[in-house]
Amino acid sequence: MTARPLVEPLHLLRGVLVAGGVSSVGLVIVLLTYSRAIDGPYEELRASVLFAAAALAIALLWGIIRKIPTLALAILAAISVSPTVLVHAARAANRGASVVVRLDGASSYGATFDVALQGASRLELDDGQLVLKAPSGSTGFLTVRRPVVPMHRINLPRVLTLPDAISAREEVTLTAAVSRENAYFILIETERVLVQLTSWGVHLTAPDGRGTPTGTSRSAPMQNGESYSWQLSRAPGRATLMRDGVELWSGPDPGQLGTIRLGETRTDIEHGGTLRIRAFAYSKLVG
Amino acid sequence: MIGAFSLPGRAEVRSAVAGALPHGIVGLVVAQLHLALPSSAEPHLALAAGVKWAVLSWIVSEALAVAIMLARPVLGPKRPGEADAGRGTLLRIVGVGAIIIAAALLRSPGRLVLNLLGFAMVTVTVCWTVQRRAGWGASARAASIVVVLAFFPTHLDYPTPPLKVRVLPDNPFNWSTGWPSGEWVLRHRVELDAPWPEKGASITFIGDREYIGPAAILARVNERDLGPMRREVSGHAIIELPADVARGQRMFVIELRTSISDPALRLTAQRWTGGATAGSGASSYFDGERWHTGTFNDALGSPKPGVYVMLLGPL
Repeated sequence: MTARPLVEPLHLLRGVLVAGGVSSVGLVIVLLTYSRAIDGPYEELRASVLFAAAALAIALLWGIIRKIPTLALAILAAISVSPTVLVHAARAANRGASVVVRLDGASSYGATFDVALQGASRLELDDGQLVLKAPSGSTGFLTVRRPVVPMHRINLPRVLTLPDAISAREEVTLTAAVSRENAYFILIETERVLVQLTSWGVHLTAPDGRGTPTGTSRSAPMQNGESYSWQLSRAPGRATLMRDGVELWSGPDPGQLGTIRLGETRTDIEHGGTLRIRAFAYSKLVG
Repeated sequence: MIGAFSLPGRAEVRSAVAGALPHGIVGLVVAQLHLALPSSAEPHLALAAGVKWAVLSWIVSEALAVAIMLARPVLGPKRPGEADAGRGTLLRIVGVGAIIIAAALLRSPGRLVLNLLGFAMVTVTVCWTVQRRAGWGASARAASIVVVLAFFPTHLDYPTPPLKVRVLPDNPFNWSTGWPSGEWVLRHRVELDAPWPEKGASITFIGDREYIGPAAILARVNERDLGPMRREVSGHAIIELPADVARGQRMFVIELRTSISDPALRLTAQRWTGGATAGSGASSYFDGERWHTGTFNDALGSPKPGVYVMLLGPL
């Protein structure tokens, strides 16, 4: 008496073709929808797809040797490729996610900023606003704390979980009033961009197309001590500065904003004043 | 007896291959998951993790099979003819296993005899015990577990280094690492067993030489900028974490940048990773485009697996 095979050869072939075909299509879709911002470096996604393809091949081979039913083979094939496909899908589905550092009430500024005061500079809370007084000759500035993303968040686009992802989009939004004592007051300073308020408007220093720091002045009448909304944003290819929704400057992408400071980082007699912050947010998004 | 060393039959090979394939799937699935983790995206490390999990999966399944076979005499009688099955397989496994272990330990003659002797003693004891209770088949499976467990640590041994090792670019134990470009970042992760107590912490990275130059090392700990590190004459770089930064932390992720790129500014790295709380994945570097696990010996221009040498202590 001969043992009857668990699955007829024709059914086994059909199972292998169906399970292998569907799973392979999933992997091909992952490769076709690759995005650096979503998946990180291409070599890593390619390695993941290769591992998935190898696991799929082994699963099909095992199914053939053991002659397992079509449904079981399909489940095994799906499990073999699921980490690559599901992680990619979860990241792509969360492409609109962002990592945000926001000033939630002036009194909780410690969660948003590191404070550096030297000389006669002071930081005060006044009427629910954060007031930074940095008279000429003293430095007083707030360094934005970088957003902390838990390392295990595999469902977020890679660009949000890497601290130095150049393909991210970054936005600094600041609603503040500046009272200048002298010619200049530093509103925002990043690794490569410096935004200073002047008597005639804004003086901005940022790298030009060749990477050389270049100063640019923009006429933008402002009342000393009046509040405005500022937005400095950068994305791969372009950076802009806006005031109350109006673009004042745009230029080449200076690269990662890096360390972001608000307030006076200079001690020369040309600088100094008071910064009164109503709202602040730093966002990192998929570019 | 000579027949016991004859080549395995086609059905036996087919069965062995079919038995091993699911563990390959386990390993490759783990490798995919490993690659998905934001902090560890090195394909070769992911594959190494997958291999370890595949081996672990195989050991667990074999151990379960042996346990079931051992329990069978209690649960019920053996099947007819089963007692003699697998005798040749057992001898092949033990013989081939001994050769592989000996080959793996040839570079460490001091360990060779000791390991083979230990392997022989454990194998004989385990195989005899299992064979008496559950037959040759179970004994062969138990022997294969012993072979794998004995082989696995052979690659972890290195010849003892000299007591005093100079930090040189081509030294396999200690070398120095720096910041080849302005975007370069060195990162080291310290994982703690318990939350850090109510006091500040001091972090010291060991320099390889005296440094007198314009560059400063800028420290960022747990995403918080702490400014330039203090340099000692010896070249060590020290940063002190205030109590409000260190308190309650279970992990310190330390990122080091330089104010300007200076080839003379260097820190020590080493191959031995046993002292790092996060093991071989504790150190990494960012080359301006992506993170890489390990260190980079820029004097040689090549990555080197290892960790930065650092100390963490209370203030």
